Amino acid sequence: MNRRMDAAVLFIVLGTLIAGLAVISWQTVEGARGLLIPALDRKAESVARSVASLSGEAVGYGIALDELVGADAVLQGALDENPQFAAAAILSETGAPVASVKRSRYAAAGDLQELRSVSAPIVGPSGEAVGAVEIAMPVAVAQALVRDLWVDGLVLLVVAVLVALELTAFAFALPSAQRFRGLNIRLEAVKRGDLRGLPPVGGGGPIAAEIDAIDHRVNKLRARHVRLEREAAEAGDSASIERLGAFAKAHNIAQGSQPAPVSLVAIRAPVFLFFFAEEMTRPFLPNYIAHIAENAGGTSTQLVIAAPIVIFMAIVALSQPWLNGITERFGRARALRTGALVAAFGFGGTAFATNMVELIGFRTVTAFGFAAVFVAAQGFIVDRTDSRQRARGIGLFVSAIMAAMLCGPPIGGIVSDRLGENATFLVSAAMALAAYACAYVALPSTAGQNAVHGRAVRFGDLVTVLKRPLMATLLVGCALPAKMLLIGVCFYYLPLSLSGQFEDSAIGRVLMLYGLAMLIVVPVISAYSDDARNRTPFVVGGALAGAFAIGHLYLWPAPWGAAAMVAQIGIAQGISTTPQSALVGEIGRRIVPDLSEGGVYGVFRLVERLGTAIGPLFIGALWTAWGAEVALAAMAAVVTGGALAFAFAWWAVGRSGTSVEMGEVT
Amino acid sequence: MIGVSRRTVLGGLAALSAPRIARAQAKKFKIFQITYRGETDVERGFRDYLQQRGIDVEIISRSAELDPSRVPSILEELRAAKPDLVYTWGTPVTLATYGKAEDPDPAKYITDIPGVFTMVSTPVKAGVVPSRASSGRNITGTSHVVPAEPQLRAMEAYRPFQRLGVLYTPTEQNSNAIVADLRSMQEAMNFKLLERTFEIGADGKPSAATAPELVAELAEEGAEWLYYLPDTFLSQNIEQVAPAATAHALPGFSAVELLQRSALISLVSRYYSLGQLTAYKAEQILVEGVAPDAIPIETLERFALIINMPLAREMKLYPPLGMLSYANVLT
Repeated sequence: MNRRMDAAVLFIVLGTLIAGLAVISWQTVEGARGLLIPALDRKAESVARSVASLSGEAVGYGIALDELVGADAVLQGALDENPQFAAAAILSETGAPVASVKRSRYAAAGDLQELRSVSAPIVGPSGEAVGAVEIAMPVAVAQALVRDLWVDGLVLLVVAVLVALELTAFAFALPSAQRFRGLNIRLEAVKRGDLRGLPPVGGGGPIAAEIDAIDHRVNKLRARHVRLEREAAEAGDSASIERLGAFAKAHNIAQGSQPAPVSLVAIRAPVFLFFFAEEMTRPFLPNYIAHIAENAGGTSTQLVIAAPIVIFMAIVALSQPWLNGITERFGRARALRTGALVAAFGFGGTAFATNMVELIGFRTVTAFGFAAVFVAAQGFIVDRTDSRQRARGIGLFVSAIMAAMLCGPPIGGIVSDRLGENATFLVSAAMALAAYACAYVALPSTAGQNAVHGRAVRFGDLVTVLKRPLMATLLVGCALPAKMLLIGVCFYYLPLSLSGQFEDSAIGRVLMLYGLAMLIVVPVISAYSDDARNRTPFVVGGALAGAFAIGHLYLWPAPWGAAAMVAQIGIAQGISTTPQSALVGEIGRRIVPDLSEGGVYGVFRLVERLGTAIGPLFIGALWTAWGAEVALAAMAAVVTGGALAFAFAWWAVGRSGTSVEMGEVT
Repeated sequence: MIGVSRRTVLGGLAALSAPRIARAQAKKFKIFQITYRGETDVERGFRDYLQQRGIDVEIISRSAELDPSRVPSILEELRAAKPDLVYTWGTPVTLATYGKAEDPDPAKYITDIPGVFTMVSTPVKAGVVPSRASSGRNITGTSHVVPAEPQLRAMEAYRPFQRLGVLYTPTEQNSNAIVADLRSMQEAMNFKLLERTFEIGADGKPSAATAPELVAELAEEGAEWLYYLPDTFLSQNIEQVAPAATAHALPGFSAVELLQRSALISLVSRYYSLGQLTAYKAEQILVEGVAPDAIPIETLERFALIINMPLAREMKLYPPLGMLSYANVLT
């Protein structure tokens, strides 16, 4: 009934969108194919002519071509400025090269003649050709450009679909849509002869009036039925009572009005947009920090570059326990909106930062905004769900974040390639403002019914939990290194190490694989890991698979090794995250019964998030001191060691109990 | 690479490219110009700039004819002419017109009329002003000296070197200051400075008689460039020095336009551009009413690299190909 309408709307929206985008992508790529290759040739011709003119000038001054000084440097300059060129040469009248440079990765490609090349004559003082300048491009360059366009188009399509899904869900949650759905529900019910009481929809306008009219008629019918039943009972007319009873059963008259369900869907759009804003910065943030550190004249060791990321993560991790209480008192919706505004200011400031102090300052502001939104959104859900609905509610929240992790990096990369990194921060600021606007329109400011008055994590809780070896190895050995690996390797090391050779959009596509893998794997694993026996193998196996993923960097050429690593880490953490979360609850109940479940989870989240801050610090410090290989190997060792320690503790201490809690990302 | 464009460019003066502006100028400004040796490209640049900016001026021009002692009589004429601005060329004329910063006698020097000076190589050391930021008096101006570092970089770009020869006059303060500068830069720029000075006779006057031998000594010690300082005596006797250097395959480098035909390459402030920069300061004083002591004393930020191609051919020392795209080539 109601679902059918949703499905129809979704189908129409997505179908139109996909078809439209597919046509536009196809037209763009086909159009580009016809323009790109001639444009490349023209560019090569123009560079060749410019070098030829310079060489001709030298010849005019009486310098013979074979006497030219520094010709290699000029050719190298042309290659450096034009990454598409494979080789460049100055040829004498007889065609013999007097100077030539070749990009090292094409060194094996053979002579210039085997590549597609353009040339320009070197004209001597009396107008005769005395030689030529030749520029060569591998044919694959043009193909690669077209392929990149297709990939960009595909990424945009996937992202557009996800965004459309979020926006559709958001639209469904709006009051006008609710009224429309309410009317639909009533019409379907009446058509079936279902006369149950339905929750009032409220509001004004023609649709609300229509709904009221239907409700009025149905309620009159129901009232009449009650009256008839009463009269029949008073008269002792058992035949009528039986018929009335059968009628009531057939038409659901006995079922009363249910309270209107709380719309949690409304939280998704602001959360999605907000996390999208932060995720957009992933492909280039480390490199952006590096540029600012260098421009400011300071040292830009890897450790310095890691600093703003570490500070951001540390603020997000450490501010969460006390932000929970604050956002509750302040009002979750209001706190979320305020956080979005604060973060928007932070993003905007980051775009204009000129030195490390300003950069760290604005990232700090963003971090507080980020933490506030994160905590307020989670609190909003917890306040409005009971323990049975909570997993589904948190699932909504987590899937919105995962969708953002999937969409943000590639779009951020594309925007930064086209408009620059500073402009991308401004786009992020705009997204945060859009999240604010969404929250303003859709989130009720009233407090939730099920407000859980949780208390902040205390240091004592940390000690209580961590002095149990099983909990300590699960939290410090598995949960913490998992986040260290994600932030330290995927979001700090990779963008920095790939930035010289690849565009931000390519880095964004690599990082997107994490969100993609999680989005696919988590639901599948959640179903399997409901069986408690699977949990420990999933946790240990996931951790080991994550550690071994680093090996891809050394097995395959960039960026494929990086892509394989990110995908494998995504799959590995998709496998371990839900069982890990469930195990925390189970083990907690069993071995620290004196602490509430909320307390155990508080400690778990705190330890886990500290990993996001420690990760870049760990990699940055080792990288600066001993190089990237040592840092990566040490990270793999930490993840492996932690997982094995937990496996050993599990084997030694034993196990029992079952329960499922949703996993969480970031 | 050095920041020099093919055409001589003035750095930091966006105003230069502004189109002619028609302004409602109430009166014609009168500028009294005193040069050292008659009109040069500096005056041409000065006049052209004012014209392009639509500033109506009447310029009264007088030359000291290489003799600064003529300046006092010119100043009498200047006072009678009652100009809006005074313009002076070179250190001797500037000092003879405005006096030293520490002791400007109003009876002897011009103190009540705003003034601009140009072609003063070391305005602070010469005592014209106490600092480049502000003259603290009724004048401002420009200097033509290219700092040592871009010069060394230009030499390095043309032909990398480890030993730099220099031949200068020990009695010229300006030269001593530049050589001291060079000495202090040896370590940072990784070169060794080889020094020779012109012989000073019993009368205290320098002599160029032994110059060819001194050049030969520098060449034997392995000098890869011979640096022609803005040294007055060297400039006057370049014919004793440059041919000897060429004979020993030792390329010369000059920091002044005057020696561009003797050196293999020169990195100079273009006189014309310097005139424009000076005129920009005049405009600030006359049109915008800025006090001269609020206008800093500046040099050009971009310089012209000049390649002496006949000499390059003779010495078979050709410029790097890339340099041709920004250098000015003498043919």
